[in-house]
Amino acid sequence: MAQVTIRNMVKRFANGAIAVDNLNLSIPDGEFLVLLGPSGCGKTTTLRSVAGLERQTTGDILIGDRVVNDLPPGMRDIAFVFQFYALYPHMSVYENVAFPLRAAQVKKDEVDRRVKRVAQQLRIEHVLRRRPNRLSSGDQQRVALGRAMVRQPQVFLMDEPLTNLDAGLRADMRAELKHLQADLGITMIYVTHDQTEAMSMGQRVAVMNLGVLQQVGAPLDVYERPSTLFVAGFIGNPPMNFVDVRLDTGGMLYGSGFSLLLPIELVEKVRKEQTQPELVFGVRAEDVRLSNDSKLDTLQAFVAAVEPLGDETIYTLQIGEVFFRASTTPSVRFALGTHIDLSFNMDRIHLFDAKTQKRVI
Amino acid sequence: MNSILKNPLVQRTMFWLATTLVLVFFMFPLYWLVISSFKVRGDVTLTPPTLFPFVQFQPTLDNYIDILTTTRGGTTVASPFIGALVNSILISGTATLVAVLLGTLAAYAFSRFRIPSEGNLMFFILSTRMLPPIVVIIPIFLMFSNLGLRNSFVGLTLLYVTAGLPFVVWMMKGFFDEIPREYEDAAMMDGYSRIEAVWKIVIPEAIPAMLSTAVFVLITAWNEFIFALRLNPDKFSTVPPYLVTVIGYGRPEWARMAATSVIFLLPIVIFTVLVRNHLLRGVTFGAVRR
Repeated sequence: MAQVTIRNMVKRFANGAIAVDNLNLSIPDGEFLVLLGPSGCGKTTTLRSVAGLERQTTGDILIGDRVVNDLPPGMRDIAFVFQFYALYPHMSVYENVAFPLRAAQVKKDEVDRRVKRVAQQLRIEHVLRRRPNRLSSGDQQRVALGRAMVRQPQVFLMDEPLTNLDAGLRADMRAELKHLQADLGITMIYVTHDQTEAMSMGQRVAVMNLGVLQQVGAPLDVYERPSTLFVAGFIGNPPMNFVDVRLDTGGMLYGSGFSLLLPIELVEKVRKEQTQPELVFGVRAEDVRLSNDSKLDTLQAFVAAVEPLGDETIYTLQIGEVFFRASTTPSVRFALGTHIDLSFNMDRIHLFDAKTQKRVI
Repeated sequence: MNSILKNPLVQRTMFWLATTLVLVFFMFPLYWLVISSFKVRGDVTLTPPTLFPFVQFQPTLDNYIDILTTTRGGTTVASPFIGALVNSILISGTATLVAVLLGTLAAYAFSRFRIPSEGNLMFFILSTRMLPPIVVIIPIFLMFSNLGLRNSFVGLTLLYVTAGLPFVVWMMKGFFDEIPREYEDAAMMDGYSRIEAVWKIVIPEAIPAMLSTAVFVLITAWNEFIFALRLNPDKFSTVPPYLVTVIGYGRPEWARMAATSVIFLLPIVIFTVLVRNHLLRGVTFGAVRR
């Protein structure tokens, strides 16, 4: 077991594009870290660099306290699970799982013992003699895991391993993987673009965009205190509501056809942080409250769309030229096309600097 | 009308009828060749022709004995045809082996590594196939004369390797492009070097494609006539130029030519039959993968 440290890593491709821009990240021993981001954000490049399948342009990668920059992948004591599993088609499941042990020239009976133990752990004993292409995608996934586990590596790297599974199986495997990682106590770096996977599995989530690390933190921290506009918009479903606003001296936020009085303590916080008045106001759908009684702090809104999902209902509401989405319990019912009153949970609103896109409060 | 066409029996009959028709169309010349090789000289040119052995004519092995043996000083010895056949097998076989091995490695490099002006290089490789071989026969003749490669095993083999390589590189590159890189990545993660990964994972996957490519290279080398005729007239001469000499003087020796051709065909047929299971997968790899 070991911790993984990425120091000032830059990866520039031959065409000049920067895939990873000065990444610093430290994953303590035994942690389950999820690298989250949209496609092309540099998360897979980062993972492949840690694996040694790609060479970072500058910067260091450490496993334990050993710099592994120049070590070939096979010597880094790391296992990698690929999105398409990459099970060797011409070998049986048994041979696939045994393959890394053969490279390490482990003795025959030891190979047999370890393959069988892993097969038992993953419940793939009944398919050991089969060819990988004869297996269900769930079993293929398990075989890929088995091949990674059998060597007892220091670090597990996973590149979107659940993408090819259907929804039900994916939910099962999420739990299973998390359980497995905790059981083995192994350091895990898990790449995904799926925020559900990230939130549900990661001890910490590292969000990347355009090659830049945006935020690292526990899933709920990232959710509740997104440090950039990107993170705020990327995590959460439905996505956070954003309005471009301007803060006036009186503590009023003005958007197009929309205005909101900020509580005085928030105004003071903003003033402390911030010099320029152009902001982005953000609020999550669950922090938008709907009612029929207008008060001082409520805004008149028009119900533009209703999406009853069963466990919740999502309303799209219009104020001036601004649209908000609000999620409510199914028992809250408003008719399409009516006017209602809307307020925000002011403890949980977010303000971002419109220029730097960084969090203000 | 429609209901008749939908009848499964009618459909099946029509399917077999069409299949038979196509088969007869393509196989008849071969059949003609084979029966002719078992006829006595006079029977071959009979009008109307005789088509059914034992019924219309009595098959004979005389032609085969004639072409495989020759009498010298009262004793029967192997004819020059045997030597030409051995040369053909050795030269075409070696050329195919070398071309497929080298071409596969080159194709792998082209598929996996960033090679400066890769497109131009690939085009250059292909361009060697664009001019008719006959236009280079004089320079090659002169080159081979100076290098002492005429009438040699190496010379003709080298030429066939050169002719086969572009085809192999292009075919195999297309195939490697279809094999996900993750296989090698996975093998390298599992503790193998790239060479080991290629040898243990990629090559076993590529064997069907290599075999089907080999069939085409082999056939081309096997059939090549003009260079063999000009470059190796005395030593290491192959079957195609020899076939011409069987024609004979005056009246053509149709039956003996047919027998020679049948024997000439056999090695290719045997090789193709041996690899036929792979051939289908190899030729259609683009279609069936993924």
